[in-house]
Amino acid sequence: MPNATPEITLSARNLTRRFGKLRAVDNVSLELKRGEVLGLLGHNGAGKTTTLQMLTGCLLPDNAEKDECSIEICGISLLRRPVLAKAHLGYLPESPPLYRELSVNDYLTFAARLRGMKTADVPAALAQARQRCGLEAVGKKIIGTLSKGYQQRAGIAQAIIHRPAVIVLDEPTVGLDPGQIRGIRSLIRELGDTHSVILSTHLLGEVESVCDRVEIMQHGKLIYGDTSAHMQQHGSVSGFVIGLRNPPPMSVLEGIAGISHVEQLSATQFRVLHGADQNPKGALLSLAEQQGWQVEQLTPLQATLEDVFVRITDAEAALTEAKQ
Amino acid sequence: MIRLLAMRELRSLFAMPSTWFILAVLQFIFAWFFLARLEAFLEIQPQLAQLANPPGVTNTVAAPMFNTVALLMMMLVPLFTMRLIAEERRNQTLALLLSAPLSDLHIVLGKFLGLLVFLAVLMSGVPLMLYTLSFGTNLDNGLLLSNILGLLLLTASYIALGLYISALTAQPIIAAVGALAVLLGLWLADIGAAAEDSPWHSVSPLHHFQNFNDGLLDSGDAAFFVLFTTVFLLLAVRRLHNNRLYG
Repeated sequence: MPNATPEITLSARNLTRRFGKLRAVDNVSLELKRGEVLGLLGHNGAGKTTTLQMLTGCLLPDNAEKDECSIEICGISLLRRPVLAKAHLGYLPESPPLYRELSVNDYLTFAARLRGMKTADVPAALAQARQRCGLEAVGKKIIGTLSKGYQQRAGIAQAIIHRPAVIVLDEPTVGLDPGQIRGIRSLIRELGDTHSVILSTHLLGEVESVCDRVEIMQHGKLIYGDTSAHMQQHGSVSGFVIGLRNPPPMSVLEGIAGISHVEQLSATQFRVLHGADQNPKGALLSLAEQQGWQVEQLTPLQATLEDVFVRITDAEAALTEAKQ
Repeated sequence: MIRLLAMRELRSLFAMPSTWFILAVLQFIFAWFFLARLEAFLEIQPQLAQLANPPGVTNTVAAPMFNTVALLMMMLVPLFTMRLIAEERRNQTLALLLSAPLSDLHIVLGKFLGLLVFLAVLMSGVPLMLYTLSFGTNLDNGLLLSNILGLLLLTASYIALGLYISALTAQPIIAAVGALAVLLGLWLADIGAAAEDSPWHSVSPLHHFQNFNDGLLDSGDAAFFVLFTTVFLLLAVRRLHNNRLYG
């Protein structure tokens, strides 16, 4: 039943969590619609995992007793009616919660029944989850004997087997090889069409390739939230990397009209920045031709999320410093 | 839901080779003890026959055997309870249960019943061996049943205590040592208290088992076991809830 306006599957308001004096999560509010993949981005210790633990009911927010905060999953309050709300949740914690002595099939069956699936529905769900996560070949194997990559996939399979409305994945691609990472990312993309997915990561490429929306966390606060496409534009830079086998001194390069900044990356490579409305490439190339600098490479600079991220977190740090 | 958790507990237990090993070794010990008691009984039987009101085979073989099993359980139960929650915490599987649509009471009861069923299976060898005697003689069924009931209640109270201690830590070994220390402490306090009416007697589960062992069904003793078990199960539920509060 596709609605005209996608329903909100998860909404959290004013989540705060202290560990002793440390405010791990500070007044975080999140909203997630059906069919959306939200990336929670942040350095280690930014509070991503704590936030996800609160969203899944593994940890209670500090102000849970009072009415200051709320977590609703499909319109059911997680804090007031946890058992009902959790039926719509699938959660993969930081390290996959696997019973190492069980076989993959037994484990996934247990996970499905645990989330309240009827016995009759389990075989079909099991087959689908195994197929989606690439676990067809290892169904009868004992989980403890599987490689890390397969264990991670079993962890993802238990989070999606009961087809929950909200899927929470904490660093889902950690410890996988590049091929597996690609597979998992396309799986998350696919899940994002029908479910809501929220994932935490410190890998920027992951956000770029799978997420519709990004929230950046630092020191327990959400400091930036937008669509991931917007975020890339946000940090756009104009410039290029040029490789010269026989380079002139830096001052010569800096002297070319339109070039605002030159940075030497290696003996033969330079990072050249210029104004957005100027293009000194032509001038540079013809000069190189005349002087015999031997151009090897010319690559336009692409704003990566890395740049954006650093810029946003730096700006935030400068702001807090200025306040103090 | 409770049954599902209990079944998972059993499945994990039987997936480990060490479980089968312990099962086998214990049956051997039970059988050895049973035969030793039986032999002793047969030796002194002629002398017993001269007494006016001689104790029967149930009194001389079954009761001491149940008493020994009760003592053995004190050492054994911590070994099984240590894994219940501490290991889930260490392997980070607790998050699966905490994020699943169950209450903390479900989790605790599921684990409690799973282990109780397992230990009941483990101990079932004892009455089975004793009932083989009924081929040759008449057994005192009342005494046997009161012993079986007492042993089950005693084991349940041990499991509840071990479960609670397991919920306190992330290290199974610490949970085992802790539970063993408490059970041994209660037992030593019981046998160390000289006075007949010392309050130490009333807090020791093994002391309350004595009446069952003698074939005396005392509702006070039964109530003690039920209370003891309930209190520690509720404490474990509370500890799991605190897990969400304090991380």
